[in-house]
Amino acid sequence: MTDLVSPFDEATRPPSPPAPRLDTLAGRRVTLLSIGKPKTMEFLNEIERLLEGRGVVIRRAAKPSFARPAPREVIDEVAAASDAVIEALAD
Amino acid sequence: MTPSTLIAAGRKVPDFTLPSIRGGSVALTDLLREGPVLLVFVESDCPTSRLTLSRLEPLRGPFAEAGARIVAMHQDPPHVAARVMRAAQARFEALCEAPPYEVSRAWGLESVPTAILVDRDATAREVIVGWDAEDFDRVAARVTPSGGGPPARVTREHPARKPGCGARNTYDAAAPAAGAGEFDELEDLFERGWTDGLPVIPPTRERVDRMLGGADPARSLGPVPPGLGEARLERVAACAVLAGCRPEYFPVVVAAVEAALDPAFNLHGMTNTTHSCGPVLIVNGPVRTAIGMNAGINAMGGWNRANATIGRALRLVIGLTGEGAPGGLDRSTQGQPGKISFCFAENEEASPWEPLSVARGIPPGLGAVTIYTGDAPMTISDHYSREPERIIDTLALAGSAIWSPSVFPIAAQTVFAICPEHAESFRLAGWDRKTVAARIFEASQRPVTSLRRGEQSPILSALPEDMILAKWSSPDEIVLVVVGGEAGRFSSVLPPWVGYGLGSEMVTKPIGPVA
Repeated sequence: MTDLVSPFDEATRPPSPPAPRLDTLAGRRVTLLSIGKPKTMEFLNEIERLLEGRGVVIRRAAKPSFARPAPREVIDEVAAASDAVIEALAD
Repeated sequence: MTPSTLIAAGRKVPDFTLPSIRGGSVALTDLLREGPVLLVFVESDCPTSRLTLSRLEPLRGPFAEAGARIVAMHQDPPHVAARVMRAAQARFEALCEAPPYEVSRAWGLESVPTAILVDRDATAREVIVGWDAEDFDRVAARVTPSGGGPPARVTREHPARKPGCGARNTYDAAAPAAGAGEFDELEDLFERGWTDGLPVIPPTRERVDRMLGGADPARSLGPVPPGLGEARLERVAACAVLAGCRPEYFPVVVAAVEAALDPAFNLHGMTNTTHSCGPVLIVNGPVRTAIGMNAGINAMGGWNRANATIGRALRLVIGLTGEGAPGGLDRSTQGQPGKISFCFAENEEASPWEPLSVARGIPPGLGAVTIYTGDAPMTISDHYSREPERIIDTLALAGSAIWSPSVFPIAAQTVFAICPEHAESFRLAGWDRKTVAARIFEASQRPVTSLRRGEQSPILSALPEDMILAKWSSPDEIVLVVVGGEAGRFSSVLPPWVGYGLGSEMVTKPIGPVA
């Protein structure tokens, strides 16, 4: 084969392992994260309604812009204060 | 049910000799001389195959200590197999089989992944179809007797079991063997995925070196969102070669990448959005003529090598180095043809105004590239008006439809591409850039009551009917560029991406020598 220069960054980045699954929702802190797109709040409100009565400690957080990655401080704050996060995507 | 053809545990296996991704050929008999071999048949389109390769990598060391080895058996060409191995971070031996997959057929392979542990006496001892963590743990225990330490095991991560896919020998074994014997370098680049769907030029080391022109190949312009691959100059040059650029275009490509990587531009969002916008490049300065760019007839429509390939090179940097390919991290609902390539030069010679780059702070006489998140241009005809006010009305009416007709204001920078004939009408009136932008802004104003059809956002719904709104939140958001041929009173608007500071800001970078 001819020696070709790859346009890709072939450096392997180790995949981030998923967080451990919750064994129960009771007493767990679940953050409902809004990305701020239209209809996000309707979606999160419905999720909150479905979680009612299951002993979940629900809190809310939001990204400043759905069109940019969440700032580090938002990620850190949510990670520190949550056992699980439900992120409302879009539209 | 059809009886299985797959070679069973306890049976002797047939020998084979296959090419390795590391070059040369490898025979099974040679492998077995050194110890037992776990052969893992895989193919690149099968997610379970890829998962299995990555999950077997941790067993490579313990197998080696026990005198055994893992060998991937790819139903793919060597370069594809090499890429799959890299992606899986699997560092064991990988062999490749081409159609009509005679080895796979001789072994009765039905699906991938299929793993077969072969003892030194060429007998199949274990056969695992699909991914099954328990089965692989059993094989690991059999091969690597525990010396008191914990046994070698595969990960406990989900999924513990995952079925695979049909093996290629079961569905395209009859495919013409031409692909196996004859190497077509252009088809090879499609197989690698180094393309936007159009043919590309092979980025040979020689071509990439010519593109670099002595610049440091290892220098990085930074990580390219959304995948954050490093934009080493060598990779940018590879994309420029793929796109068809001549080496003299490279400084423009590099400036375009620098502009795209400016955080204000928000390449991450532009790529991930469901909107159709893509990067629009507007080039100013002497470089336009030096490299033969088109600012005249059909300037936004390709058929000029510099225009077409510079824009394409940036798209390839985003889609390949940045892993922002449509369907992957690019989530555009519909897309638009400008996402193949959208690059043109301003027609400074036909413009009554200072170049766009100068209006944006670059000293006169310097080359510069301006990047903008634009949608496909909407052509605006005005052939009857000679009064500049009427042309302004036409531009404002057409411009009021962008994003969504009832959304006022859009609060986003918006490019109007003014044709030379309309520009001449503004010149005769003595109107500069600011005046034209201010008049388009004013002419776009209308009462809320006229916006009651179509989409009603909660904010719009709450506004009083007699309130007057403009399409933009400030005349400064209206950006003018002169482009096109001398004949034809056709200007256009290049609709923007999302406004309100959520999306992207236009960025201008000077074009200089690349070192």
